[in-house]
Amino acid sequence: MSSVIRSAEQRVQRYWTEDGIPDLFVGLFFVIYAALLWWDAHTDSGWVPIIRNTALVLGIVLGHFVVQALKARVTYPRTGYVKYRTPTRREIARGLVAGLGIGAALVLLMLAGLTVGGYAAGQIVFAFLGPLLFAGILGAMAYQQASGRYGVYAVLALIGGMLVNLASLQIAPTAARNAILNGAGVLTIVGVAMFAGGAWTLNRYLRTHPQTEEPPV
Amino acid sequence: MSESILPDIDDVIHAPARLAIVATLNAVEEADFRYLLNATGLTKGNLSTHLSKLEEAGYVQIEKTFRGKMPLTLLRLTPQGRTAFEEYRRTMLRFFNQM
Repeated sequence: MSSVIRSAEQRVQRYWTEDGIPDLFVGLFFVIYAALLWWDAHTDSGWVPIIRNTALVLGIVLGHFVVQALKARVTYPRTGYVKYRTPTRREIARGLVAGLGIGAALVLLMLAGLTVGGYAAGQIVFAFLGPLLFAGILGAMAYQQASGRYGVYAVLALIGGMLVNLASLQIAPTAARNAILNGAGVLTIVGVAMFAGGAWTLNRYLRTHPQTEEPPV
Repeated sequence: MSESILPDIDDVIHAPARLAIVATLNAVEEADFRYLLNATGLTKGNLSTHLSKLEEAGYVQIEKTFRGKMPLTLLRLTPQGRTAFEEYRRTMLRFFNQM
């Protein structure tokens, strides 16, 4: 009984990403933002941080509407429409507590690295934090949705992100190194993976769910 | 099996097809008929029959509307339906824990 209920809940959660459209949007956004981080590190122009922050806000605010509009044209006519529940107060509180706990743990980790090992150790810890955070979020989504694809994104974020960040620590402090350590490296890896994964998923979705002339239900 | 250990199961929800429908609707605010067809794998006739039964019990609200010029059937669990599902879930957990 509980497996029927649990799998129904997971199927509902997975439906949001079943067509690959959210992956496409988020992947593209990550790559663009990584490029802006790279640009920011290589220029003295005061406009670039403004452009970067504006892009961040626009991406977050408009993202949901863009994805919904695409789903209304592509997904809902094929496999149906779902309106997700808004989280309950208890769920929001739990999320906030978990987020604060994780944030505090990461800050403590970094402080421990700085205190025990000095600046160099602190940098190594910092190089791990970004990929760890991405992997944690993507891994949680993979678990919630029982999605292998998001599990792959989480692994790529963790391993790829850490390798790129650690490799960048081997080079002398430069604008490129700063850009990578500020997140450009892991964002590029996750962005490319999500864009490719989203494209493959959308292609498969359109092939397995062709739009028919069937009368509406 | 003695009647005293049988839980007070809600027969409306307990049927496998209706359990799948209610579990799916419990996870969302609303869904359309086409989504439930895909999610449950039921035929149109079968799904309609089970939805009618759930509507009679007061657990599901069926709204027939339009999106542009296209007819659309929206389905959502009523507050009574959500309460009944939570009670069903608790009853079954209690039953399995006693075994």
